[in-house]
Amino acid sequence: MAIDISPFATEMNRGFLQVLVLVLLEKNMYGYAMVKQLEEKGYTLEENTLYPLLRRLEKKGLIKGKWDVSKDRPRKFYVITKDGRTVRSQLLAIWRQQNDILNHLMEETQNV
Amino acid sequence: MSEKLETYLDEIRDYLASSKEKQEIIAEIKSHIMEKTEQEFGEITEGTLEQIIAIYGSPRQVAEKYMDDYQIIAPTFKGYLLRYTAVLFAVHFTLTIVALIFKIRMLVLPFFYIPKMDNFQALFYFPMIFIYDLGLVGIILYYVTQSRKDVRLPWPKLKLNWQKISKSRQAKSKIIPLILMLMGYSALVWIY
Repeated sequence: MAIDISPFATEMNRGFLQVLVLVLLEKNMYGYAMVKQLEEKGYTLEENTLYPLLRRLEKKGLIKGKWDVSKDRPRKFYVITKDGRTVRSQLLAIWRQQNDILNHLMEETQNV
Repeated sequence: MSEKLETYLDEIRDYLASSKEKQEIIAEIKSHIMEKTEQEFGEITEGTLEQIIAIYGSPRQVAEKYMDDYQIIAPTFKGYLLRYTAVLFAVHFTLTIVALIFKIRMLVLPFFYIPKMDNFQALFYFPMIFIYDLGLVGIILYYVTQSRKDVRLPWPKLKLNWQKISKSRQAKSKIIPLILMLMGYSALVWIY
């Protein structure tokens, strides 16, 4: 019987998506545009996962949201903050370190 | 606004516990759904909105994603819910039995009031006090959780070595006052 990996993938993607968003929001973007850009890069995600994440990051002051009401329909645009950039660089450092550890372990395991 | 969308947002609103952010969250979800509908179908109609709502997720699922970090009682306190309820219920139960035997009513401030009742009425009273005690402990643990303080809840460690205790003066000095205090407490309740 095939094992359903989706719960494991969801767990793993949670932190990764956070970093992706912080990288993506170097420029002003709204939610749907982010989803589309990530899809173009081959990363599919559910919108109802992205938007609560944006809210949590906004609450923690890592991104800033602003409603644009100049068009006929209001849109909320997000951009990274100074604190967000600091957190992002630290998260990326952790991610790179984890990647190195994983690669070393994989090499060692293959050599056994 | 579309009737379907309005109903959908109303349902999400009902599930969201945080009243402070409800309005903002609903405005965000509405904006996202409208945007997606327009981008995917080129127009916003009842039919196109319905299709997007169907894939957006059930109202409960959507609301839950916004409440990931919201806890009524912290997982670390959940074990205490039943433990404390059991202790409280034991006290409440004992006092009720005393009240029944001596046919008196009891008021133990600030939480307990045990009315004068007969045995038949007591049968209905016991399940009620269990629910009351569970609720009371739940409320206290809720406030402790919301305070977000690193609180260590008291609970006696029951791995007791009775031989050591009987020899230890320090242990005796703790247990004897505790027994005296319980006796005094019982006497106070009795006098009242």
